Amino acid sequence: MTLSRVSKRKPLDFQTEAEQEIGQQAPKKARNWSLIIGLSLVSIIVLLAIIGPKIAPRDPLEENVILQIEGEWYIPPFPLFTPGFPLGTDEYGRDMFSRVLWGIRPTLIMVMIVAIIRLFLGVIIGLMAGWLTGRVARFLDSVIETFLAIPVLIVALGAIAVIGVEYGLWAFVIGLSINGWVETAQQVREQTRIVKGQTYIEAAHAIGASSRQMLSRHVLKQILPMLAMLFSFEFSSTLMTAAGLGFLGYYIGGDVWVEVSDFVARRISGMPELGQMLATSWVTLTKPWAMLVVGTTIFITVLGFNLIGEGLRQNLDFAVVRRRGIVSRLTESAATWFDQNIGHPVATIFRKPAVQYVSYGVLAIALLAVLIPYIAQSDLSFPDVGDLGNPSTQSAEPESVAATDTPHTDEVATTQSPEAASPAIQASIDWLILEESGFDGSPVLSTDGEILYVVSNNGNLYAIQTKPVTGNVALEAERPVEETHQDAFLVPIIKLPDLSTQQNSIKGLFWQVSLPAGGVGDPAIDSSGNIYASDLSGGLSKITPDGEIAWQVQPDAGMRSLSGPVIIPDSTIYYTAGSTAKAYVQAISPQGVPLWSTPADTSSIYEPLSASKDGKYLFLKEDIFLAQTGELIKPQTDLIILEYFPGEDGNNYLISGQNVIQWELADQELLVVDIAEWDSSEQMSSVAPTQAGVSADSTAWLVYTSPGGSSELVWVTMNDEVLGITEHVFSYAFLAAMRPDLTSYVCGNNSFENREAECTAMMPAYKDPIWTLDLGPHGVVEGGLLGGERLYLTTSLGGLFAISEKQIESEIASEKPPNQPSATGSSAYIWRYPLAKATFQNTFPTIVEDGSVYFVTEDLMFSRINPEGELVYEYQLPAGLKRRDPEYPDYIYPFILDDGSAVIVLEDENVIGVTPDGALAWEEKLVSSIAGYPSLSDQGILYLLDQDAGLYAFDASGLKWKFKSEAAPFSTGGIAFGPNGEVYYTVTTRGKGYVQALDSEGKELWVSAAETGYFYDELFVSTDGQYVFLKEDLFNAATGALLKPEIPVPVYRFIAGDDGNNYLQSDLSVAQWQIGPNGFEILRSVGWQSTGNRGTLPMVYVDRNSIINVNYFGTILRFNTDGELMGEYTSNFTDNHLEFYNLENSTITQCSHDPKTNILTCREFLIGSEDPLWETSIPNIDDFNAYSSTISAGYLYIFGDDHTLYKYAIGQP
Amino acid sequence: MTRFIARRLLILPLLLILVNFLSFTYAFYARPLRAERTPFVAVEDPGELIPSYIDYLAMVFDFDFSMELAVPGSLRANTPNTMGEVIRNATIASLGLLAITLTLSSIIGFIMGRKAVQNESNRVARWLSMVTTMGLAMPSFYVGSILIFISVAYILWRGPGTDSLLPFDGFGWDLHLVLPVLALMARPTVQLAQVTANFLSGELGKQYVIAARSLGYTWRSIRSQYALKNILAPVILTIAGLSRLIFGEQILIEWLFRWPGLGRLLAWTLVPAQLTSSKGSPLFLNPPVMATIITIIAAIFLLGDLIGSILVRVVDPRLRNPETEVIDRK
Repeated sequence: MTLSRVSKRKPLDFQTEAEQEIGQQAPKKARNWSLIIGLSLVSIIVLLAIIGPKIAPRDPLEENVILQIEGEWYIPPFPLFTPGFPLGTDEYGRDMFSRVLWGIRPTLIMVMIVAIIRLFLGVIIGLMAGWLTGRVARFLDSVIETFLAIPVLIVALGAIAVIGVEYGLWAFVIGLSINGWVETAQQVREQTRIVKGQTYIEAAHAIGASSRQMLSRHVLKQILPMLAMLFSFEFSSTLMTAAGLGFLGYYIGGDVWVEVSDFVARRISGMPELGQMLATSWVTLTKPWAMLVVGTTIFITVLGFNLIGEGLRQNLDFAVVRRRGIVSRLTESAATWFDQNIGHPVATIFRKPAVQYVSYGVLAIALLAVLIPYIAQSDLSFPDVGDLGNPSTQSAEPESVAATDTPHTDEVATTQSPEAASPAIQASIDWLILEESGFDGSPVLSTDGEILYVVSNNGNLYAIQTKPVTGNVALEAERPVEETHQDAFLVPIIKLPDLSTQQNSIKGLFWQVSLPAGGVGDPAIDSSGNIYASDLSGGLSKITPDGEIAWQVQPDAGMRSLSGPVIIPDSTIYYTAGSTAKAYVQAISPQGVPLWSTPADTSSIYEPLSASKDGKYLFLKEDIFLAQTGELIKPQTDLIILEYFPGEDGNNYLISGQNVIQWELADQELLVVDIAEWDSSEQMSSVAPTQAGVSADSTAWLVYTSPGGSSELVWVTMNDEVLGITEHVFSYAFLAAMRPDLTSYVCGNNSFENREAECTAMMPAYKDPIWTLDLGPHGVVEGGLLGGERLYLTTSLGGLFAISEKQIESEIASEKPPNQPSATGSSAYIWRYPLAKATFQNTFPTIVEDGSVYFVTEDLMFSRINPEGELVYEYQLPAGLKRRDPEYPDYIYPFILDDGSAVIVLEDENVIGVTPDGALAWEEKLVSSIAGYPSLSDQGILYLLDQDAGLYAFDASGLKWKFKSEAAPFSTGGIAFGPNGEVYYTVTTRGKGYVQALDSEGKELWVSAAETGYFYDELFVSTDGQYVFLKEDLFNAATGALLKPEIPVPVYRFIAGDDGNNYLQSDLSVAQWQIGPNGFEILRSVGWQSTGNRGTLPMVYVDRNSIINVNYFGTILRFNTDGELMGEYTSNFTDNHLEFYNLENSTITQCSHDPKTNILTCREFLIGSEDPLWETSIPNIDDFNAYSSTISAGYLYIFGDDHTLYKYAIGQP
Repeated sequence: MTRFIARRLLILPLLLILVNFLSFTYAFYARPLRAERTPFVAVEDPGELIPSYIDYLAMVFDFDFSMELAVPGSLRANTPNTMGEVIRNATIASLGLLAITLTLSSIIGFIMGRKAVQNESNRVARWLSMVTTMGLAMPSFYVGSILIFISVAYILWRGPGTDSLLPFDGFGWDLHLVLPVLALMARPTVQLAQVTANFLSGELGKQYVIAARSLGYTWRSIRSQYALKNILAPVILTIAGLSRLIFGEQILIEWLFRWPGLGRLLAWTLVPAQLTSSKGSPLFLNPPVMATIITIIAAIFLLGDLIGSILVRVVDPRLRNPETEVIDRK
């Protein structure tokens, strides 16, 4: 019955065992697709690892801060398929495609080394565990079982945490290998046990084979075919773990976080590596390109190796016999032939003991021969990522650095004498030539100093006579050109493209030659006056002093020149040419015959080439070439070298870390001759110098710079004496030229825009510039040259400036200052109060309206001083809680209520009230820690939010009430008040905000969901209390209804004006509105032009005089309601400069300290006006820091480093 | 089996004490070592190991875990909490995540593995090979990242004010679990499916199956009454092993989803501040914290293993006899 039921469904397979065996042996026609696909994927990945850096279309470290596509500006990270960036960019605008191509190689090398080590350990331990018996076997079994139980990631994390990522590759090799071998060992152990149980092993044992023989001839032979499979799986699991480590921030070499301002830090990383790219890719959730690209690369690689492993596993499955193609048949025949004719006879010979001993000896010698030089070279140090094929890692760092620490030059011992006044020198522009295509390098001067040669970006080499131009005779004749050009300079200006047609009429232009393509870098000039210039087609041209082309050389197609030429004393010319990712140093004889071409190792291929003064070496960033043969030499050294360069004193130097080092070569070994060493710990030590050199008197100089940040110039002698450190507010500072007396001409830009350049002359002895000169909107300074008494500068937008300096006459110096105060003020010392200790966490004391001062000192003593400077009370706060880590910051907030009592939020979520005379009034505890900053209402109630959406109202008598919002579990930290004491605050879940409204007694009025995604924005209440604003959301304050009136303009943010009116900000305009009987009405609006802050919308504030203050984060524009610009002011925050805004009165009070004279000058003026309302000076202020000083109600308070609080009266007499 | 359980229970505390001491020692020596080399960790006088460890043990035996810990990077940044609270909450959070993931992975993986084996040919279906190969190649953080990006893309698509369909950040025994569990499940599920399928395929190729078929048993009854029962023991052992795999991945997933569990806490104790966006990592190589976390993790692993071993013996009578065990080991 059962049979019949089954047979209805499907006939039973009654094959005999023999039939089944035959069936199993029948060839199956299936292809091993896993192996085929896996091999294809891995081949592609390996190929990319090998040729990736060569085919990378861009420099992987090249940053792109802004990009224009079809008229629109975009900032990074650029998305996938952005033109020019097929895989998008990371947060610094670095091309992800190029980064991935560069990053695969070091990652694969690291993973391969780890996989090999793991495989080796796994096979050895597995064999032992499988073969041995007794205690050893049990011990090995226990080790394997224990290690299997511990996740590799945890062990790797622990090991690398101790070793430190800064130890590079070996930290990872050790970390990933400690227990990574265990899975291989387990498999090998099982396989060994299977083999061990076979009868042929028993037979071998019976005929007297030793364990070693059985292991090597039988067991290992059975295991060897597994190795490829095990290696594949090891590779993929290592890569997975390494990716996990990278994701957590652990990757080869590591990186650092550099603080760029109080609350902003930026991650500084070197050359790309997949782990590093993963670690830095998780930037913003809305722009996941970088993460997706890197994650997918890792996924594909792991998939490839897994497929290979799976394919090999299938191949090892002997039950399945695959189709034998011609290739496999041939391979098998070849292997059989090899085994019979070579393998077996040779093995027989090697079985003889004598032969074995000789072989072991040879092997040992070979091993020593390989290891000894390596050990001698490496000094057992850990290589960094640079050793993985990216030797430029260290040198490349400064290029990727966009962030710097705030410098504290005062703490560096220097020989600078700030007291000394800078020499009175004035710089002026003698003439300016404009060349529309722009310049890429410096000009050069003829040997007699009369002709200036400069190459333009469109490939014109100009020879300009310097002397006739000085007289301006010829150029002034062409002034009509100048009249069409909107320029601020009252100097002769001429546009160079016009010269080609008017050459004969302009005496200033000696001749002009067109190069085959656009010019690159600086031209060079030899002792005979011949000029050499390289061009974008990769060619080099020699031009005679008469302007004739003597010869031109052209390298292979597809190359371009990367630097201008350099000439050594024997007149050989060198320049770099290449593609975007590889540079070749080319040597050309004086007759124009190519001598040699050597590929450079450095990735900093756009750096200029330089030659040692003796013509022996050529330097391209961290590469050295022998000038005669072109050999790229790798000197043996322990130093991490950023750059080699020749000094003006004839010696050769390099930069390593923050130091300039003089070196010599002896038998390929780099010998340190001298070091200009200095204490850079307080400087921008986290970034490498962007420029360095050594003057003719062997003084080293280093330039530190960052885009948008400040820059520094440091002079250090070889005796380690810091001659001076100067600071500049420049973005992209560039030392254009230096005189023998160390007068240095530094140029830079004031913004990211790179349009307006400014230059200063600095001397080590003076902190302040000798002169400063605005070059106008002509781009960044590309090159500089000192010739005669002039400084010549070229700029990216085509300016060629001739600048001369002259001593300022004494009467000029004694002229009245331009901003003579129209009214004078007065100042008076009131009192000083010495504090027993520094204030808590170095906070500034709180000063209330009546002039009382409150502060908490480090010993948790809370004190009050009356306006006369006398101690009112001291109150000891409870001691801090026991903390394991002293680094952890504590929080203590004192808030002063109207009656003088204080509310202090302690670090343990306790809040205490202190009476005006210093007694404990009450104590309360918050449910969770404080959120945001507490707010004091007009009714004198202090409102405080905790993290759990709880609102607390405190007055002098303690907690009035508390309320916990049920709408959402978290607080955003903003509180706003209605006219009748209503309180509004925002609570949030993840992704949604709610406005919670309460009356003054803490009763819930309403709660309303916000539509805006910007619910962390500030909450406003209109002056009449009708509306509540949360960014672009408008709520009815009485009902909480979200109002959606028809508004004719897009709303960026609603604003409650202090004048009682309601406003809205819409892009670059502000409109006053009301909701009347006709609905939403715009009453008037004011618009303005962007100040070029790249689409950043400003903060707008309307004061009680209806003046609209538009704050572009430092620059404030003030408009009246008619849209007239009433004034513009840019704040100037430095250590020596204090500013106090009174926007309601449209005034600013400034105090500036002159450290040379120790005079503090204070003034008040109307915004937009140059004339101060009053001005006063306070002498003998020798301890001024703007960050620990404040202005309140006509008094200036200075909190000195000696923990003394000084009070001065300032203002109108 | 009673002897087996008693023996394992006796060894367990000894092992835990050893793990605890080793992890304390590791952190005790590692922290000053790192402090010397990096400005991000304060240089401290480590004192003596044994007195410090005795202090720590006294704290443990007094059950005094009131030591303040500052857990950085949590939802409430730098909110101070006691060590007891932090570690208790983290353990609960991690165990919950682990239990849910393990349960779902086991069920789905087992079902997938079962479905992938064809009755007649005893072979594993190709689709399972594809799925397992893909699944095993996907790092959990990659799966998690993709899930987060999908959530964010949805919010961006719907416009401001849109709630995420599923929370992708933070802790909660609700929808917060979905994405972390999904990200964690990928690898263990396919791994279990593969193991189940391979064992089942091997089992169905055995002689007794042919005999059963010849006697007229249906495939369904053979699979459910014999084959699946026979493979249950190795499957249970695999599931016990999966808990370790999942916990390893939990470090990354808890980090990614800000799940305040032991994995995230462990990452804080092992990842120094300069590698994270947080200014301070006060937990970095903190010996008491490190020792406590590692001990708890070890306890979870060992207990998991013990439960697995007991279950195996319960479902497979062949393993209950100590002699059989010995034979098996051989």
